[in-house]
Formats: sequence, C-alpha cells, structure tokens
Amino acid sequence: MSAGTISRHEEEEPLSTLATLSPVALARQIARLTPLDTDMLGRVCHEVLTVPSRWVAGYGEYQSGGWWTLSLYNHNGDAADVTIRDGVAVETALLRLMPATRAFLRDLGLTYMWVRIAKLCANSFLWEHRDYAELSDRERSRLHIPLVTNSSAFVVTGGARVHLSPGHVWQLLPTHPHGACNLLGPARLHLILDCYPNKAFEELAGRPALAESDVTWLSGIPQDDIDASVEKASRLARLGYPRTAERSLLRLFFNRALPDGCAYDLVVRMYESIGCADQAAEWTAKKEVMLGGR
Amino acid sequence: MGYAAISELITTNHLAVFELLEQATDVIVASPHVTHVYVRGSLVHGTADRLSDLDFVAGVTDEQFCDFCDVLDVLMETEFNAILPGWRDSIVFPMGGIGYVYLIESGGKLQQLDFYVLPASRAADIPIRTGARLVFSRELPAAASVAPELEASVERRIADGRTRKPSLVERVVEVLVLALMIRKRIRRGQFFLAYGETHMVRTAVKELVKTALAPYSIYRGWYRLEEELGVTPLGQACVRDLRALVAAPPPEREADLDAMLDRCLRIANIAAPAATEELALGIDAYRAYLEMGAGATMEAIP
Repeated sequence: MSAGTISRHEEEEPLSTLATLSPVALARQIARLTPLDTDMLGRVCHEVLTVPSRWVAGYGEYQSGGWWTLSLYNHNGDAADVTIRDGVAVETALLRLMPATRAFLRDLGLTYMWVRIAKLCANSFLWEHRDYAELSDRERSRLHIPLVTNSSAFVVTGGARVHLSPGHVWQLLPTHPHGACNLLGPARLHLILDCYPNKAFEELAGRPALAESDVTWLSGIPQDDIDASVEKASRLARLGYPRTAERSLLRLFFNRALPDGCAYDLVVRMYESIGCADQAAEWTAKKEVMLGGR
Repeated sequence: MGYAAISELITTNHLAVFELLEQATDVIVASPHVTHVYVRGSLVHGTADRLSDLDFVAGVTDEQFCDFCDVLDVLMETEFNAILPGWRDSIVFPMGGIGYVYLIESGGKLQQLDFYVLPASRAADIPIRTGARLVFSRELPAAASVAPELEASVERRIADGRTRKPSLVERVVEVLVLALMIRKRIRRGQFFLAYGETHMVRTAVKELVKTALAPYSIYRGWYRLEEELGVTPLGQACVRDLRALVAAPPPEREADLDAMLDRCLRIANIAAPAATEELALGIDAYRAYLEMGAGATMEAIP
C-alpha cells in the first residue's frame, strides 16, 4: 500500500526509530496556521451543535467507536457519505442548512477535496495510523478547525501530544503515523478540511508555528513497565475481556513515546503469551493496514 | 387494562440509568468468571431519580477474585469511561468483598457507579443480607469447598482493601467523589446526608495533608495537627486553609460546594502537587462535566 504524497514544502526528515521528533520536525507535521474570527467561529460552532442530523461512524477499522462524522463538502452532496476520496467536491445538503458555516467555508477560498464535521466522544480513539494511503499521489493537505474541545483531547505523533486549541486553523500532515484521542471528554468537535493547493491555501499556511504550550513531550516507557502492561492485559484477556486488553495496550500510544507500530506489537505479544495464535496473526495483519506496510 | 400509548410514554421517559444498567451488565458478564450480578439501592427500591447512581455487586470465582480486583480500574477506564481511578468505598455496607466508587461518563454526563466485588463463595445470599436484586447468574460446575490457601489469599486481599492506608492520589479522588455525592444531596434537599459527607471531605483533606506533610505522625485524628504541620510556611498555609475549610458551614447551595471544592483542591495542590498533577486531566474533565450540567460548554471558542 503506497503512502500519500509528501508535502512539497520541504523534504521530510526521517523519523527516528523511537518516533520522537525534534520540535522543528514536529511543527512540520502539525502546526497552527492563521487565527480565525472568533465571532464567526462561534456561529459555526452553534450551527454544528444544533443542526440535527444523523452522524455516521465511518472508518470503523481505524477507530474505537465514538468517532462520528458528517460531510459538508464531498462528491455527491450526500452528507452521510464520509469515505474520503480524490475529486471535485460539492456542497452537501447538510451544509445548505448551515448558512454561517457555508459562508465561512466559502470565504476561506480553498479548493476542497472533502470537508467534514467530526465528533470524537469521550474515551474514544482514532488508533495510530497513516492517512491517505489508499488515495492517489496527488498533493493534498489536511486542516483542522477545533470548535469544542477539552484538555484530554489531542493528536499524538512523533512521541508528542499536541492539543489543538480553538481559535486557529491547524494543519496536520497525516501521512506520518498519528492518532487522535479524547481520553475523558466531553465530546470534541472539529471541522476537518482536506484540500488541494491553491493561492488561498498558500497564504493560509504561510507561517506555520507550534508553541511550546501546545505540546507535551511524552516520556519513554521502561521495559519493566511495558512488561507489566502486557501482563495486565493478558490477565484481562484471560478473565474474558479481550477487547479491553487490546485497548489497554493501544492506549499506551497516547500516553508514552513509542516506536511506530509498537502498540500493535504489544497486542500481538499479549495474544502470543496466552496462546492465541490466530488473534496474534490478526493483529499483525491489522498493523499492516493501519500503518501502510511500513 | 393497559394502554399502548402510556406504555410507550413510560419507555420514552425511562431513566437513562436503566440503559446504563443494561449496557454495564453486558460488559461485566462477558467474563465467564463472573457468577452473579446484583443491583442494589434506589433502582431496586423504586426511589430512583435522574441523579441516582448505579450500585452493582458482582460475584467472581474465588480463583479469579484477586486478578479481577487488580484489573478493575483498567476495565472501568476502558469500557465504562471512568474519568478517575476508583475510590475504595469506606461507607458501603460490608458484604464480604471490596467496594469501589467510579465516576464515569455516560450520555455526555457524569455518573456515579458503585462497584462491589466479592468472591462467588460469598455471593449467593446477597439478596437476603442486603435486599439486592439478582440480574444475572451463571451456573458453574459444582466445586468442592474453597481450598484453605485460596481462601486465605482472598481474605488477605479483602483485608488489604479495608486496611491499607489510601495514597495521596486516592485521597484526592475521594474528595472528588464525595463532592459529587454532596451535589446530589443539595439538589435533593438532603441536608443531613450532605452534612455527613461534608465531614468526610474535611477528614479526607486532613488525612491527605497529614500523609503528605507528616507521614510519620504518631498522632491520630485531628490531634496536634497545628504543631506537626505548622513548622514551615508550606504547612502553615495548609493549616490556614484547612481551618477555613472546617470552619465553614456545610454547603447548602451548589455555589458553596464549588467554593469548598476549590479550597480542597487548592490544599491538595499545596500539600501534594504530584498527586493533583497526576489527576490533572481527570480533574479538568470532572469540572467540565459539572459546568455542562450547569449549561456551559467547556473550551469552546473564546
């Protein structure tokens, strides 16, 4: 499975085997862009919180449950179609019910591939993965506009937690392994804009920055603690809670600096330790799907 | 004669806690080692309201009892959206096991879930002893009586659950749990219960400060507190705040409770900053849910 196109802005530094990035390298993966008008954002937020519609749980393999989206721009105008793909985007019927949001998105002047509203509920995760692996090599960028969030909602990549606070556009380079979580809630709401390059985007993204206060560098985890986590997960699985066991290990990605894919390796190890070879093989295969075979 | 429309209205207006009861039972009984699940309290007595907590009692095979206790926090965090570690329940009626109180997110709100776990060998007569209602039971192959070594190991674990001195983190969790209980009492107008739980909060904060700043004290209760703590500016600050905490009347309004909780967390932050730091995200979430309950949205557009 091929990875998405690397941004044309600069050649990427190779990630360390421990997936811990320098601050400069991290800022190339996730950064604040331009500040936004708070009044307008407030109106957008109000519409997103009040426009009734049926949220869709897409990308089931990538998430824990609790991640719901609706499309505002896609290829057929049906808000419930949330599987992103390349192409010319049109407004959905849902966006036509949200005049402030519609005006806001039009005024950004971007060339959209897809635009979604995304709700990440409490105790919900987008597990470690790479994006765009199934798409063509056409250049694209992903922008996040946080509307409602909390201190336990963040993106993890390269051994760092980044909290996307409201009031700015944020850029995420999603071809590197990353995950998103909302550990404790309340629910997090973002606009997610996938867009192709154009002049408006170049102006928007002209000065990416990442403040120290945006980032929490995760500490590594000693081998003893890793062993203890796997042992506890094994006990959970033996007690009859295999899903809980899996999740307790996958969650480590969000609390500690781990090498790419390590959380999946720990799940494999857990199943091997309790003699479940089939489940271990399933998770080896799942890691390939989530991380694009690297 | 029943009316279909009225039955539908009853279903529409049923308390959310019953949905949680069903979902939680499904999760718990997925383990083949869970032999009994009971429900206690207001849900059984017919006095439940929208503020009611969920009171579970679970019987677990004696062989797996200790393991089950060891993984309970992870189970609650992962499957029940617990925002904090469990508080070892010191006020629950003793039934031969260990009780914990968890604060969980359910339907966008904070909910209290009391979870009492006991060995299956002691679980069969719970309804007679407590009035609990059986919601699930599982027949296991008839076993001989519990081996003495196993019984001793289970009893040691239960005794440890009763007698081990709570850690600083556990004391902070205790304060947060009790404060949520007091909020419920205030909303229901249960003055005496609020009074009792306020006293427990004050004692928990006192114990937290003593554990942090006078861990080798030989004095019990409130004896010689000023002398032991007041030897440094740090200790004096704690004594001042503690004095203000105990001098205030029990909160009768939620605003008074908020002020009391702020003071408790301030004291905890002075005496045990590592504990409050460890729980920082949980405390943020706790406050966020309370504010949402009051109609505010946390960290929206500034």
